[in-house]
Amino acid sequence: MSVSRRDFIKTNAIAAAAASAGVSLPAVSTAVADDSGIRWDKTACRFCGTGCSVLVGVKDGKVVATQGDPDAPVNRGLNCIKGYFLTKIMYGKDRLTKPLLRKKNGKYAKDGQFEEVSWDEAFKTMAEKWVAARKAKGPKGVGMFGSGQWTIWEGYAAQKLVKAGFRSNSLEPNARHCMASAVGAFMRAFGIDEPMGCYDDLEHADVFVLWGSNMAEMHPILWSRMTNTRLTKPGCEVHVLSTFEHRCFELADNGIIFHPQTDLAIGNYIANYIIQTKAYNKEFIDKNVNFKKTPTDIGYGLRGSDPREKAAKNRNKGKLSKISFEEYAASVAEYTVEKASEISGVPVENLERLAKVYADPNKKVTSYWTMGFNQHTRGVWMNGLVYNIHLLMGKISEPGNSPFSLTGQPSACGTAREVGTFTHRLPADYVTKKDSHCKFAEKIWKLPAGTIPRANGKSDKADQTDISGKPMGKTLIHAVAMHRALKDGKMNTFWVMCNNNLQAAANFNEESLPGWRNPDNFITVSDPYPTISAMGADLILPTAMWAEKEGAYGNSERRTQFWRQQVKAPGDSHSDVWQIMEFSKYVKVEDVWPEDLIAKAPEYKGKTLYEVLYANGQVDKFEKIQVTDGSGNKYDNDESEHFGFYVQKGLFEEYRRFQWEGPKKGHEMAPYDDYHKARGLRWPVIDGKETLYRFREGYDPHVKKGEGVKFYGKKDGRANIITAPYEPAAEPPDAEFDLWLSTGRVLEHWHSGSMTRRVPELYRAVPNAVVFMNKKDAKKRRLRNGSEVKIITRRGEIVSRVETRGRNRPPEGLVFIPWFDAGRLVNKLTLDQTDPLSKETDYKKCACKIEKI
Amino acid sequence: MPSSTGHKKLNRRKFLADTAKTACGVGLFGLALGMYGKAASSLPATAIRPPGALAEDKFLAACTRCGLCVRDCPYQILKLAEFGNDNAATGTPFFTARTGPCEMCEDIPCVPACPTGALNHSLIDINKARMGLAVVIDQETCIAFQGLRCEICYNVCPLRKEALKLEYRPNKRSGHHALFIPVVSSDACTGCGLCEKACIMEEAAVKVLPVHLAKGELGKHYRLGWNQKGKQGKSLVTPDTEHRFNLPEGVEYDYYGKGLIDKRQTPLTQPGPQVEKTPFSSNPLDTLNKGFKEVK
Amino acid sequence: MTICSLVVYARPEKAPVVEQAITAMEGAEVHTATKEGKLIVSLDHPDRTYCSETIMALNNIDGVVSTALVYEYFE
Repeated sequence: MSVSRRDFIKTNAIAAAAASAGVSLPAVSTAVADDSGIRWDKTACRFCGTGCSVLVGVKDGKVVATQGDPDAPVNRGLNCIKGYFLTKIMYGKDRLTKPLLRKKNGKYAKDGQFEEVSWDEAFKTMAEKWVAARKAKGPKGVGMFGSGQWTIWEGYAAQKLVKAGFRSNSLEPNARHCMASAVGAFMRAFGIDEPMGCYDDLEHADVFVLWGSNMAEMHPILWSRMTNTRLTKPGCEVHVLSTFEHRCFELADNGIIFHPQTDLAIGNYIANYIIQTKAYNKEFIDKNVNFKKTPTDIGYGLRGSDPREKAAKNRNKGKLSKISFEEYAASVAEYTVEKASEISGVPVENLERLAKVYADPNKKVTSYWTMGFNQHTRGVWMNGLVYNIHLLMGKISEPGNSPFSLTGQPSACGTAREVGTFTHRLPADYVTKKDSHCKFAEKIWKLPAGTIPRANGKSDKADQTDISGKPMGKTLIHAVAMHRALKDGKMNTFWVMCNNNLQAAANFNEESLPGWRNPDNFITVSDPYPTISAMGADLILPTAMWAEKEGAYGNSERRTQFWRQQVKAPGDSHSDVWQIMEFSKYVKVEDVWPEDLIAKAPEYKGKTLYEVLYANGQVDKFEKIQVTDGSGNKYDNDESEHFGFYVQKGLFEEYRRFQWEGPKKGHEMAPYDDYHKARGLRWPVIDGKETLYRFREGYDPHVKKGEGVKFYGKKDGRANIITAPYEPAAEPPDAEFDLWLSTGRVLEHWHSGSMTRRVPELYRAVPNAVVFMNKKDAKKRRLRNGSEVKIITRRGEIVSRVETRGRNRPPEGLVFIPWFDAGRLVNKLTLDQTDPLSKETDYKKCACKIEKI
Repeated sequence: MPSSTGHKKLNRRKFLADTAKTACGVGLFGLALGMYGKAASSLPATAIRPPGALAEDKFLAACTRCGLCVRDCPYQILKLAEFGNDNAATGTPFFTARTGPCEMCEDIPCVPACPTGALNHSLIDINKARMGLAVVIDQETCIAFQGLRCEICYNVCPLRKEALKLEYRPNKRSGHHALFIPVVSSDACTGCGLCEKACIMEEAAVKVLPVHLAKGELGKHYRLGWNQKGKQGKSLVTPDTEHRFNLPEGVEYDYYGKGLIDKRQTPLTQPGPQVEKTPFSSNPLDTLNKGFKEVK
Repeated sequence: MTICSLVVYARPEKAPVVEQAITAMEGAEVHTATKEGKLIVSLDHPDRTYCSETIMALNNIDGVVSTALVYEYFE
């Protein structure tokens, strides 16, 4: 009998005695928890992009309890089931505590066994490999793959290390698999990233439309807010669109199941309906909107050798050309309700009901979407189609009228997007494509002009020189291309941090695994746990996680939240920011910069990258202090202790200069110390005031009095409505592979399950990934609920069990498999197809077949 | 009653006699509970019979303890009670929902395996099995009742929406969220126990009955934030800073209360000028009932 | 394992002494004591016989008026 069971019986026994004697027992409640001596402080939840605030209770150096923060406006004391178990994620039995290197006979060997090594040996080995690869293979010879779960300063430190230190644009976040299409569409439509609205839309809209978002499971607390509005607001409606029935359909007034990829036709139909019924807001359009045309037949982001790519007329093209309103109207005219219904398989009445709420000027509509749109070979287009609808109606940038792209990860916005840890980006929406933007970054970073590699390898129209003496050449490489480059031996070192990309990336068998295990390559994985990625690595660095470091996340609604280090990381593990900065001490400027560049900054001669990038008089400006909260509780800061200055504050304050000193406005954040006091602040924060709705006078300080609405991300202050026709998917089912395969998540597990599958209760609740399947499809294959089956695609096969009664109910012809299960790697099945514009993987559509075992 | 003295060595008989002497009215109640406690140990709450099992007395009479149902269970969740360990009648089949619930095979292989009909062969639809009844037994600690987004019992229920439904209620405490309350329908629940197995509480808050009453237990690592704040009378950690916002005139922002409050009369969205507007309400009754006096 | 709970009635003026005496016994805990001298006591011990003997011993503490067994669990 376990102790808890004993305590429980005892509690009951005592309660019974007390009740029988009429004695009240204030001290003996059913909760046996002992709260004395617990220090409480605030943090942001480690999981999704909702950004719930959580209070963490520490006793004797261990997190012993958590609670939803009742003062946080996002969650008001609530958590979902993952948040409920935050206490347990750091204390899995198999935490990594020492660096591990593959060795044979005492030396590094690709085919060796993992052995414990010192940090010094780990970084020496790594630096040797990185410098060699950088010299031999150019800027794309090295690569770093970070995360939307990195804290803000971790992303910022990595940005500096890779782009300025190693002079490489081979830096990508896992947010490429997650938010890149959303970013692409924001930039094309508005010229500035991230939603104009905020979570207050959840109370202010009359109608909610969910497109490719299973908010009920993936943003549980937002769903709770939305449900409350649906229950309490008269006339409130919820419309849900998906390729299969999921939990959100339970609340849907209009549930729509469409054939994969045909959301494009539905989006265009709604625009056409608005135009045909003359419901559009002409005044708004005349003042605030331009119409643009995009090239079509753009391919599927596959390798160039693929016949589908060879057949594409405008492969990867996205340059916009201006058109008139009439031309735009003509482009959508073919999408009648009949045609949209025929393509999508959705009954006419459901489509019309949806179109009518968008077209009703008296209904406030908020649209939410997540991976159904973003992980889409036409993801940028599809995001854009919703902006088109909202812009046609002028239903934007005001409470309740919001096209709102929900983010998946806790800091996909705060780190990946705002810090710009993508190959093509710099902080605050600056890009490596623009020479002037790179120069601005170089000025802030106190680097000689021309240090950061331009996308095209040219600065001031002249070739940038590489360490090899050759011209830099083109430098951009996106996440999926990185795995291809590893396989092809063009990239030889790869550092994966704060994510599990070997499990997460598509086409495991043909691209990911051969790339990682290519004998020419040296793969480093930083992780707290032995994940699939760690298994595929050559060097594993044990990592401090979440409350084991001072951190900051930025959620979907532009809210930046900070937390202090609550506990120490186990053993020799260190935070990502520590690893990045410490590693930079092992590389000298001469190892990676050519002579002509060093000549422009002779003061950097002989210096390490650490001295150039971090001990630069700015990042190390703030002295290390005893971190203390408002109640006088004291906290560790292991990074400050090690480096001798307030690392996080120095990085953040330098980063903030990108928001305040450049020509681009609208990203301004508050000073560092303000965030430790607040339950998050929504940027832009000007004069200490947060911004709820962007681009609208009164709400947004960048819009002047009398301007009304101004999309100031674009030079002329106008947003773009962009054409985007229906085009078929890359790999539709055929006679042999006769089912659509869609992948995704479940409420109980976070991403690859490396944390949540180590929480016993969550593991017991949902131990394995099953194949959600329609009963009729199962019957046709002589399968039953629970049958063990092989799921086979052109790229691989996995074994799982059929679930016909599950929470997800696919229509005939489609199966859904969650990807959290390291024991059943669904990405052995998926195709490494991407949106050709955003380079984001489409995990939602490929063809498979299912066989009984 | 004076306290007894001088009984240094007590035999069991004496002990019982003394206890009886000391027990007053309260003691009688206590005796009942004591028997309940004993019952709990002799017939554990956790033992559930396979699908199709006859009523317990008839089942015990019919079951020959042959173990064929156990052999044919594809998930190997059934076992035969062992002498002295499992407390169910020795040799009879049972399963334990918390560790191995019935997976509800569509062909119910355990039932036809039964040679005596102790498992009723007329059961051919597993959804009609009544192995027990799930009860959300502790609504005080079940975190769904506090507004946390769990619903795992619902997510794993094979007869979701029939046997286990979610009832939506506004969360009056937060004012902005909803409660997703699990509610079992006895007319559809088979008692398979998948919900009990999946419950994330340290002691399951949903249990399959008929079993003995028991209470769930909130995880030791978790506190309800608003309770803690209430107890303390203030925030546990530094209070939030004062938030100020950029707002147009006539708009206020109640950060901890209603959120955005727009006091202006006109809706922010102006209708498109092309929309055909008429002076008539869409409801003809409005026009008809308005009377003549407003006609110009 | 045996877990039982009892209500012990003590003379109010002797209750603190009684409480001390009970607390000193192996496996016994006093959870609450009222002004009137009612004490809620639990006994947690692997041996059932020990528990019965202890309950009798409780009766013999000076100041105890009576004891009542309310709940017993054993396995």
